[in-house]
Amino acid sequence: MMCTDSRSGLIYLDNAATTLVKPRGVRKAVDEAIRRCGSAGRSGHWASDRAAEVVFGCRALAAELFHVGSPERIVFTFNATHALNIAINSVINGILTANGSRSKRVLISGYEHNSVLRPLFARKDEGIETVPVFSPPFEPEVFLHKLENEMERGAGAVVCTHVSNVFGYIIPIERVDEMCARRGIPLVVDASQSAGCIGIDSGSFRAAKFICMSGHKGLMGPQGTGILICLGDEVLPFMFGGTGSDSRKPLMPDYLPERLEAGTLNVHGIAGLAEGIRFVMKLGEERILEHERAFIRRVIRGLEILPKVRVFQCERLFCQTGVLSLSLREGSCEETAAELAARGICVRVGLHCSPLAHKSAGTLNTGTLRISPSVFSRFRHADRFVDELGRILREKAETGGQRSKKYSCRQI
Amino acid sequence: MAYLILCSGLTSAQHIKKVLARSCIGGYIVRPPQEIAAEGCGYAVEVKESQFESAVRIIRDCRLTFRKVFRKDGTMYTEVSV
Repeated sequence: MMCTDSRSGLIYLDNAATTLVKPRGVRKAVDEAIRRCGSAGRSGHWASDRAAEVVFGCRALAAELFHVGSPERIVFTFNATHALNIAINSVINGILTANGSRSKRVLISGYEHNSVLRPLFARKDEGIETVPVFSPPFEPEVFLHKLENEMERGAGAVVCTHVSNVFGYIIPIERVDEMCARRGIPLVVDASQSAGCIGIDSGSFRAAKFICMSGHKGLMGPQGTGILICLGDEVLPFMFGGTGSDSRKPLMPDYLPERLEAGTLNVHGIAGLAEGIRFVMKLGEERILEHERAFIRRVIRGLEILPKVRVFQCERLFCQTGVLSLSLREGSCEETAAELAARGICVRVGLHCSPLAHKSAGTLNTGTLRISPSVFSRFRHADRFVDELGRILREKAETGGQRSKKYSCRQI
Repeated sequence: MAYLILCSGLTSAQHIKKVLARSCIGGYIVRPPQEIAAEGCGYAVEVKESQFESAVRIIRDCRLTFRKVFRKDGTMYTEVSV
């Protein structure tokens, strides 16, 4: 059922970036697709038909997992950034074509990734004003209050992450949706960090027009896969090209998903993604989240004896997934991560492409060291991480903060 | 004799095929000839004559849409209104 990293001795704790250890079925499905799948639906032969079946099978699974009424509303993208660009462009198009009747302010949480921030800032010259709503981590009520105040000042759209990729902080997206719905403001949800570990019921959203996610993180698919759930009908193509249908028309088809899927699909990746989704459905998001939370709880407990480490945690973990950021009171996170890597422990360090999140938490100048286990991570990995971190910090203290000769960055 | 239910795109055809299969109606996806696919390349679900009426009813019950329907008789295609 699964492949583990136990033989390599590698401890991979960077699953919020991409899951490295995948269910065995994913690898098998990709291999099978490479050998047997042609271009989906473009021709009438068996290889094309098989590819089309693989793609539709994955759409149907995704529709089931996210409670989407019609598989046509599941659009395959190359990653979450691609999905977010389509969603944001569509929403901005709606604002700009409203001839001034809609506010050009787009509200975003103070935890958005650059995949939200940059597509919005790119439209600044067209009058789009991006307004980040800053609030401390793990204080959802403060965020909701501030968001409501900003909404009162006018908003043409809201783009909000479900879970911060830096802190694992869960934003109460259902309440954000409710607030948007009351005011008729379209919402774009970035579910990159929640898909696969928190249940998402698309049918319960009222204001959300798009839900964007990557396929290679919690959904366990290969890189190069992403999903855009289109809950609204105003969708603007981001790419133009062949769709295998309505070929006499110079314009993109006006129906989903073809309207947003120009060019050959990543059928091999989608085949793997289908198996990843199947795995998540079989195990259940709750069980996955429970395991990942138990892992970071164990790390947090272990780190209590290390006073030089600041841990960003939600007291009872009710609004935190299995993602944990740490900052060091002495020394740089980068050097420490490099030393961990040299000892076979993979973590993510820096700003994690989310400067806003660090601004919200006051870590913009230092960044953080982030660990993000997966359902395949073992508790002994948590213990080893704590032991090695403690050892590194002690060595640093002994050498007066000088970089250890044994484990230098160059050795990675 | 068979009927071709022309769909807006491949995914729509696949969805219709899946819905019909759930009701034990065997349909399969075909590429209709250019002369009947109004906008160029298209997709259709082909069903047997004996199952055609049930198929249309099921598709409508599921609120799925299709573009046109053609009766296929050998190499002849005749549009039918439903």
